[in-house]
Amino acid sequence: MILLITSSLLFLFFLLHLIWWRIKVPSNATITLLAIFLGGLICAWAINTFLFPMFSLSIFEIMQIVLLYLGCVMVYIIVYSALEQQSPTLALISYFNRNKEIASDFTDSILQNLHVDNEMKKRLLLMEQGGWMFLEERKWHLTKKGKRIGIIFEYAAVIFGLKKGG
Amino acid sequence: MLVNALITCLPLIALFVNIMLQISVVQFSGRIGLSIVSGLIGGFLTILIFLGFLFDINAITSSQVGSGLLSYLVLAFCFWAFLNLNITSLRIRIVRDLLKNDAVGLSTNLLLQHYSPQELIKRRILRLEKTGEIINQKGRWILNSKKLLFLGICLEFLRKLIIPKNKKAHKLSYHRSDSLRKIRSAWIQNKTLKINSFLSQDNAIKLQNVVNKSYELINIECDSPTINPDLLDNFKRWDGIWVHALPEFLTAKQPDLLADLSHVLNEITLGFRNLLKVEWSIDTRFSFFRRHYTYDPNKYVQWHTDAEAAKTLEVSFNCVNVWLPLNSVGTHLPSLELIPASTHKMRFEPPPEKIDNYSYRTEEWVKNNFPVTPWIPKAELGDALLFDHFTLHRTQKIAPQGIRTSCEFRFIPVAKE
Repeated sequence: MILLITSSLLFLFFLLHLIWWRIKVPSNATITLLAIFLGGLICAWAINTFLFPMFSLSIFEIMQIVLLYLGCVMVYIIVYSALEQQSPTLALISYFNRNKEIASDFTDSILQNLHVDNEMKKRLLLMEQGGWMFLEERKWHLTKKGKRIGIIFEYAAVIFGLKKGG
Repeated sequence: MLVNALITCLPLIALFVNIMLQISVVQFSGRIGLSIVSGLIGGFLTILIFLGFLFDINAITSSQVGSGLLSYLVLAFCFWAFLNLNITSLRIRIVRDLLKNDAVGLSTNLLLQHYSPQELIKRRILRLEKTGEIINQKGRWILNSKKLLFLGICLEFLRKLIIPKNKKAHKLSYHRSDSLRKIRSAWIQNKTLKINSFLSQDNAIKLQNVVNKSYELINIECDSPTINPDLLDNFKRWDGIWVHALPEFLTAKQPDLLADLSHVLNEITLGFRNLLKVEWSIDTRFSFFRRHYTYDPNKYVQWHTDAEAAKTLEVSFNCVNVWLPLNSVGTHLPSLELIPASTHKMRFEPPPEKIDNYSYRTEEWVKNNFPVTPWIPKAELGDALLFDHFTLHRTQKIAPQGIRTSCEFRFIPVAKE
C-alpha cells in the first residue's frame, strides 16, 4: 500500500510537471519542482482527509509515505539539475565515444570541441545571478548566502576527507 | 506502537549509521571510496538486523520492508550526491576558493587562471582513468567502459522528454502595460527589448529638462576650478555627463534640479524592477547623459558591447542598460542598431583587439559571427531600450542631421554582503 500510494503520487505530480514545462519552462526550476511536488503532497493529504477519504492510513504509514516521497523528490531534483546543464565529464565520455581513439595530447581538439573554456564563465554568471557572490573593486566576494554554502562544504570536506575538486 | 515508530524511523537510523561509518572509515583509512561503500553496506545491514532480530517478522508487511529499504536507498543517494558536489562541482570549488580568500577577494582573471579549461579537462581525464572508464593505450585514450556512456544517453533522452526546446520567437517591442510574463519571456530569449512609454510623459519631460539644463550649466561652468574633474573630462571628451558626479554639481549650482533628477531616477528604478529584476539598482558610476553630434564622424560609435567598451564587466557579470532617447530616434536622428540575443554568444567571446584605444568589433567580424539583419527600433521620448551588457550594438548609420540626446542608466544586482 505504501509503495503503491507513493509511486502513484510521484507519477501524478511528475505528469503535472511535464505539462507545466510544456507550457513554460520556469526560470527557477528547483523552486517550481519543490512547489509542485510538496504542494501536491499536501493537497493529496487534504483531499484524502477532508473531501474524499480513499485510504485509511495510520500516522506511521503517512510518515513512511512522506519519507519515501520526499527522498524520491530530492533524487529527482538532483537528476533534473544534471539535465539542465550537461556535465563536462559526460560530455567528455560522449566525445570519446564519437572519436574512438583520442591522442593523449588532448588539449587542443577536446577544448575546441567541448567549449569548456566557457564553463567557468557560465558558473560565475549563474552564481552572481543566484546571489552567491558579488564583484567589488574588480574582486569577487561571497555574499552571506555564499559563505554559508562554503562553510557547509568546507566542513564536509574535512569530516569526510574530500579533496578540493571541480 | 514502538515497533511502528521504529520501522518508520528505520531509514533515518540506517542513514545515520551510514554517515557515521563513512566518517570512521575515512578518518581511519583515508580511503574515500571504501568509506562510501562501507557506509552504504552498514546502513543496509542496520535495516536487516532491525527487521530480522528485533521485530516480529510476522507483524511487518512486505510493503513496509520495501518502503523502508527504498527510503534508505534514496536518502543515501542524496547524501552521496551532496558529498560528490565537493569533488565535482565547479561552483563549490569557486565558493571554497573565495572563502579561503574572504578578506581580499579574487579577480575574475585569477579565478579563470586557478581553474583553466585545460585543468578542467585534465582533472576529469584523471578521474575517468582512475575509475577505469577510459584507458591509455600507446598514447591514445580509449573508452573502456560503457557505464557512463549509458548514463549520458539516458540523461539525454530524459532531457529531450522533460525540457522542451523553446522554439517560439518572441517579439522585441512591448508596451509597459503588456503582460509581465510575456515581457520576461521575451527578455530571457533576446536580452533586448523596447518598452514603449517606459516613463510617463511627465517624468520624461522632467528628465529632458534636467538633462538640457545640466548641459547648459556645465557648459557655463566649464572653466570653473571647482567642477569635478571626471565630470568635466567626460563632458569635454565625448559630450557625456557622468551621472555619478551630477548630484554634487547640482547641489551647488541648482538644487531644485537635483530633486527632479532623484525623482526620475527613482521612477526609472521602479519601472525596471517591476519589469525585470527586483533586486537590481542603477550604478551611477556607469550611467551617463549623452549628446551625439551626428555630423561629427569621429563621434560615431561602432559595434561594441557595454561589458567591453563601458567596462561594466569590472563590476558585474550581469548588467542591463536602460537607454532612453530624449528625441524621436530611428528616422531623422540615429537610434541604435542591435543584435538581439547576441548576448548568449558574446558573453563567452574573448575581448576584441582595441581600435583607436576602444573595444570595438569590426563590421566584418560582426557579419561573420552574426549573419542577421540588425534590429533598429524607432523610439520616442519616454520609450526605453533595455539590453544586456553583452548585447552587440552600435549607433544607427543615418545621414547626419542634428543632435541626439539620450540617457544610459546601467543596472546591476545589489550586492548582498
